[in-house]
Order: sequence, then structure tokens, then C-alpha cells
Amino acid sequence: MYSYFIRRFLLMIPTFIGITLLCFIVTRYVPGGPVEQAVLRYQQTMANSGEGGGGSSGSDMQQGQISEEMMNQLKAIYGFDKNPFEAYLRWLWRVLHFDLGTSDTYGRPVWDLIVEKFPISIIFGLSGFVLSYLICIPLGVWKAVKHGSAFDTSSSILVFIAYSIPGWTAGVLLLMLLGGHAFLDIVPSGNKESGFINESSRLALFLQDGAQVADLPEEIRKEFPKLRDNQTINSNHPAFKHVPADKHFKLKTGSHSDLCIVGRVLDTMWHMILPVFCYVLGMFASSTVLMKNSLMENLGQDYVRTAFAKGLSERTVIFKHALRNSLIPIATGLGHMLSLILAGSYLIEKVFNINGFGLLGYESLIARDYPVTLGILVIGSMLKLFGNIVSDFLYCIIDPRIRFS
Amino acid sequence: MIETYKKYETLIKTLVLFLAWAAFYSLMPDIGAKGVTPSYTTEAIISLVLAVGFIVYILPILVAGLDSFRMFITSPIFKRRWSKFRTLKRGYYAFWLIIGLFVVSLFAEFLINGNAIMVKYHGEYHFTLFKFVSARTFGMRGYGMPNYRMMKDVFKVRNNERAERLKAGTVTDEDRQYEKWGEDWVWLTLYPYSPLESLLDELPTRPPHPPTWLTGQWREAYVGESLYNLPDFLPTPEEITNNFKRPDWVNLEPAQLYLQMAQAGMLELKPEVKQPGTFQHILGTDDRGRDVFSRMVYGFRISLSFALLVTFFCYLIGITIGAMLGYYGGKFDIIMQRFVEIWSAMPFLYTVMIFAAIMIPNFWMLVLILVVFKWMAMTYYIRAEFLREKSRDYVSAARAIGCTDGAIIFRHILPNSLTPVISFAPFAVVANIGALVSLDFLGFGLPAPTPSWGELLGQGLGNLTKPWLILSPTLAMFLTLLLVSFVGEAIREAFDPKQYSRLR
Repeated sequence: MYSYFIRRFLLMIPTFIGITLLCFIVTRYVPGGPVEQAVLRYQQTMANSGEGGGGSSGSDMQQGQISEEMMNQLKAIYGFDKNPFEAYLRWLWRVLHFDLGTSDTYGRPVWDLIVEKFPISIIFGLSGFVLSYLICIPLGVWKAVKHGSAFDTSSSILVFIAYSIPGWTAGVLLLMLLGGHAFLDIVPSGNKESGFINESSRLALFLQDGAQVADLPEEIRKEFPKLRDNQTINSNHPAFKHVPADKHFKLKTGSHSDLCIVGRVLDTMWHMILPVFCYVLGMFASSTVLMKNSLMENLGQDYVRTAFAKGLSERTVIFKHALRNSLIPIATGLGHMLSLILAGSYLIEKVFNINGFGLLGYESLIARDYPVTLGILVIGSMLKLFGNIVSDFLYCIIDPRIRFS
Repeated sequence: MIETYKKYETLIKTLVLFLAWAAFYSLMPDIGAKGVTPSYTTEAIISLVLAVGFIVYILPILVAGLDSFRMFITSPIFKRRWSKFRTLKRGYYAFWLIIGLFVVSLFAEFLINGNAIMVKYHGEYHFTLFKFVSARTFGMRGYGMPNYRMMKDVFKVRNNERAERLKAGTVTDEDRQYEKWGEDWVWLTLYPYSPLESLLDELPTRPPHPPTWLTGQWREAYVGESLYNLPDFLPTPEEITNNFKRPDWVNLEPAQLYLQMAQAGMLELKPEVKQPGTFQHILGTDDRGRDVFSRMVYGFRISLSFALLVTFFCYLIGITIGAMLGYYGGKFDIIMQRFVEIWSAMPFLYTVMIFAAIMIPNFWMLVLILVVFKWMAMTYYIRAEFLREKSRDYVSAARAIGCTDGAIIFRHILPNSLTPVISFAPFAVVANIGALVSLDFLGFGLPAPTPSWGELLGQGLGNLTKPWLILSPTLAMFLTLLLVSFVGEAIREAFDPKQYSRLR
């Protein structure tokens, strides 16, 4: 069995190379890449400065003209000067040293960007995942136990509805219905925490985004020595961390940094309600049906008949004998969790404008920021590969009948 | 079927060869357009090679596969399952409903189109739907497609004028000719708006326009654009209470008062502004002033045909490869299985996003991209079915009487292992519709003016205060997916008879 897992790990290598090589080659050969975009940007700025009358640019920098030399420099900057296979090998070598390159748009190491965004996605995805299991497992069990009853039929309708609305679509719909845009104004409509200003806080009058620190009265500025004159006030600025909290539970109107710990947690949770609901909705139908079917299958087995024949109560048979076995497919789903979470995040983070992993990937694609795109592909596919192995491993551990060879 | 094919094999092959050659030849310039344009002789040679390859290798497999599908469908076990399916009313009616809707949507050009079906002008009949007629032909300005809705109004006005002249006795030469020609008319479609047609010239105020039956919203927009003829003097409080019977209006600001009066329908529009009809745009217009309802219907057609095509090609490849893996086994099986495993470890959505973002595909390219990354699912099931069926007695018997591999695969095993194909297809369709809508929503789907639900949802996310942009695609998608999943559920119940026996 161990040889099986070793082989699986070894198989990861060609898989990884295959995926990244494919995407790497595509990014090379299709026009509209970063070099062309840089040339376009350059030409635009030159055209603009030309209008302004600044004629002091160098002789080879005529409008819209780019010299051979500059083109080569540009290509070297974006790593397009080598032949694609050599470039790929170099890139792979750097990836093996955990260096994913530097982002073209942010100008920062891709690894830092991903590490920065990852926890946000994980918080959302994980809470959605846990919540969906907390709802789906009992519901599936109850549906299986009461198979054919009114409860089963009515919850089946719910499952059908959840199956027919992709989670992120429901997100758009709920944002419109409840987010204070067209109908009700109940839930916050984006971001991870409140950026609004608490009217009762002392700085409230001055915490308008965009106001200058220099505008603050002297006595208030004394309390915040970290503020510098030329700074623009931003209600999320760390300098306002210690603003005394007057009303801790004013979630909708209070600034996040105005609140105490409990308040902050509640505030974050309140802001996470809609996105997490979307994650749950996305997994709800499949998990419930899986749980129900697997328990139903086990309830028809001979060992359940035996257990009933022994005279055990229905409760014992279902919860001690059948349920344990039927949890196996659900438990192995844990392995796929991470990749599932990431797959959902591209759409849901776009809808709710959550500044996470998925949004980073989406924006890097829009901006043709290939180092970030490839970095996200690397992380995504690694997680998926590991997830597959973990789920196999869990299968082995939970179900001793299964022997991989 | 296969017998008929054998009988006319040469004839069919010649015909198909010619057709395939013509098809490839007509496709060639598109392929060549990117880089070097090949000369016509090289094009002809390449297309001939492609056509011959298609005839020799692909066509027999397709015909044999079709034949085994026919055998699968005509087998008594399928008939029994089908009659079981017919008893599941919800799925059965959903099946016919979705097929009916799809067929109707295939003829959407006849029902929902800015182009008129037929026009009679100067005694001549023009079938405008099938043949482009320039506006100049009908005495309108411009060389493009005429605005048939406007033309209908113009014809009506002219006919009325003519009738009046006839009554008054001041008949012109043209009027005398019209007695011979008969009256002009335009036969518009049921819902005369095209999905791609921007209606900015026809509708006042800025897009997106609300559905026209929400008259209050329209009136509000008209007030914002000052399209009402305001009275010279504000009504006095006495007038308000006496004439309008609205005492709560007495203390309003003038602007508010005018708004209220407009919403109550008490103000006149300026003469040049035309009030839209009550059900002119039943779902409003989108942010470029295109009719939402017509985009929804065309979007339904595109989504469903896209999903069906992707499912079909995925299954074609999946079945072929799965069958080969299961039947031949050995080293080929091991290597190919590893390959399938590697291929299916790709993060699907992101890879497709990368490809679509970089290539900016058209409809068929997008189908191809999705097929390339989605064909693996069916191979597992077909391979398992083949492994199981291969060891059955009837296969040994077939081999003993000297059947070839092809005959065993296509005539014996395949018809017996198509059940998973049928029972998974509806769910694959659901998944593919979802994938297309997601890609369109992110902006990596079909190119810009194509009517699609996802693009509309994306617009809705940008205009969260315009509920019709969000509600219509969401509801349409919800209903379609619900119908398809009803069908899928019923098919699964009929074809995958898992008897859940509760023992106690």
C-alpha cells in the first residue's frame, strides 16, 4: 500500500510538469502578452506627453516608435528573450526554490501576494465548507431515515432548488435583494469588515476618507502621534486602531477598528454571511444527496438486517452501525476540500469583491500578469493533486477493506 | 441500419467525401488567415487529405457507433426502462417541455426578430427575413437594414393619408397606382426586437431601461430627463385639494410635486417624445439599450446548444477512449489511464479561464476548449462497463464464431454498456450550462455581442439597482437547470434501478 502512495507522489511530478508546461507555452505564443501591453502603454504615454509639448525626449524615442534595442530590453524584462523551453526550465527551477517570480502589475514577489491573499480565501471557504457539512450530514441522515415521508419530499424540493442555482448566481441575486441596492438594506454588500464610520466616535467627523490629517484639530491630533501631516485619512488606517469603542454592537454603522474583539469578530461574521451562504449553497445539494444515498445503500445491507435480527433498537442500528459506514464517502471529500474551495472562489470573490486568491487570479488574467497567473495555477494544481492523494489516504485509513495496489 | 449502410456504402462515401471536402475547403481560408495565406492548390490538397482521413477513419466509427446506439435504444430492456420513465410524470413532462422549448428557440428568428418576415411595398412582396433588402428599396433613407418597426408606422400613416385624399377627392398619380398595387404593409415578427440591436435611437432616457409595464419607473426617468411639458404655474394648494383630491401633495417642493404628478400620469409628455407601449420591452433593456427578453431567448438557445454539443463531443471521445481501454487493456490501458489521471488533475475552471482569456475564442473554439478539459469523466464508467462485459459468455461466444474486434465492440459490448451515458447526460448538460454562464460572467466566454445569460448577470452586478438585469437571467437559468435536473432525476430512477430496501 505504501508503494501505491509513493507511486502517487511520483506521478505528481509529470502531472505538474504537464499542466504548467501547457499553460506556459500558451502564454508564450498567443499575442497580447505583457510585452505588447508594455509597448502599448509606452506609446500611449508618449502620445500624451507629446500633446503636453514636452519635446525633450531622446532622439530614438519618437512618438509611437520603439527601437530594436528597447524592444529587446523589454523582452528581457519580461523574460521573453529566450526560447520557450529554456525559459520554462528556468522558471521551473525557480519554482522549485519557491520563487514564483515578480508580478508585472504589483511589482512584488508573486509568492508574497499569494501568501497575503490566501488566508482570506481560506477563511471564507473553510467556514462555508464546515457549515455545509454541519447542515448536510444531519439533513442527509434524516432524509434517509425518513425516506419517502413528507419531510423527505419537501427537503428534496430544497435540494433541487439548490442544485439549479449556482452559488455565485444566488450571491448576485441576494446582493441585489438584501444588499440595500434595489429592495431591502439588511446585509453589507462586500468587503471583509465595515469601513464605515461610527458616528459616536470622537474622530467621526474627521474620518472621512480623503480628508487630510492636517485638517484635524490640534487636541485630537495629539492623541494620535503616529499621524503625519501629509497623510490622507482612511478609516481603516492602523493609526485608528485604538479609537475607543462606544458602541460595540453597532455592526452596520461602526468602523471595524472602532470595535472591541467580540465586536470585530461579530462584524467580520456579519460581513461574511452572504459569501459563506453562497459557498454553502454550492455544496449543499451534492453533499446532502451523497449522504442520503450512501446511508440508504448501507441500510439495505445484510449486516443491518443482522443487527435488526439481533433485536437492536432502530436508533442503535442506524447511528452505530450504518451511519459509520456511510460516512466514508463524505469523509473522503475532505481531501478535495481545498481545491473545491478555490474553484468556488473565482466566482464568489468576484461577486462580493473579496480581495482573496480567486480575485487575484481573475485580475491577473485580465491584466495579462503571467507570473501571477502561473503562480496561482501552480498553487491551485498542487493543492488539487495533494487533495486527491489525501482523499485516497483517508479512504484507506477509514475503510480497512480497501487496499490499493 | 448498418445493412442499409453496407448496401449503399460506395454511394454514401462518395457523397460524404464530396461534402466533407467542400466543408474543409470552405473552412480553409479561416485557418490560413492567421499567418501565411496558403495558395488555393495547397488548400485543396490539405482539405482533400482531411476529407479522406475523415471518410476512412472517422466515418465508419461514427456509423458503427450510431448503429450500436440504435441497438441500445431498440433493445427490450431499454423499452422497459423507457416505459418506467414515462410513469415518472415530473421528469417525463419536463423532458418534453425542455425539448419543445429548445425546438421553438431554434426558430426564434421567426418569432423574435427586428427583421420583418414579409413586406409588401408598391405591389411587390419582399421576403425580408430570408433576403437582405436595403432601406432604399422601401423609399427610406440609408443603405442598411431598414427599421421595420418604424416602417410599419410610416406605412400606416401614409395609408391613412391616402384614404383621406381619396375621400377629399384630391387624388395624386401615385394614389391611382396604389389602387392597382393594393396597400403597403409590414408583417413583423411576434416580438420585433433583435438581440443585437441597440435601441438607443428609439427610446428616450439612458439605458438600462426598466420593463415597460413598470410605467411608474418610466415616468420617473422621464422626469429626470425633463421630457415632460411642465405647466406654466404651479397648482395652488386649493387646486390640488379640489382637482387632484391629494391633500398630502399640498406641502411638497415643486420638484417633488411634479414628480408625483408625473407618476400619477397627470403630466403631458413633450410632443417629440414617444411613450413606449405597455408590453414593448417586457424585461426592459440592458446597459447598451438592447432588449433583454430577446437576448434571454437567444441566450437560452446558445446555452443549451453549447451544453448539448460539449456533452456530445465529451461523450464521443470519452466512450471511444474508455472502450479501447476496457477492451484492449494491457500496457495501453495503464499508460492511458495515467494520462487521463494527469489530465483530470488540472484545475478545470482556472485552466479554461486561462485559455479563454488568452485566445478570446468564438463559439466553436470555446466548445473545443471545454471538450479538451472535460472528456475524461465518461472514460472511467465506460472502461468499467467494458471490463465487466468483456468476461461475459456472450462475448466469448461472439469471439468463438469469429467476430472481429470491431464487431464485438460495436455490436455486442457497446449496446450493453451505454446506460451510464444516458443517466449522466442530463447532469453533464447542467454542469456545462453552468460552466458557460460562469465563463460569460467572468468575461472569458463567448465574444462580446453574443447574447448570453452570464454576460447579462455581469451587467447586473455592475447595476445592482436595476433588478430586471439580475432577475431575468437568474430565473431563466434556474428554470432551465431545474427542468433538466428533473429529467436527469427521472432518467436516473428509471435506468439505474437501485432498490433501496429498508430492512427491519
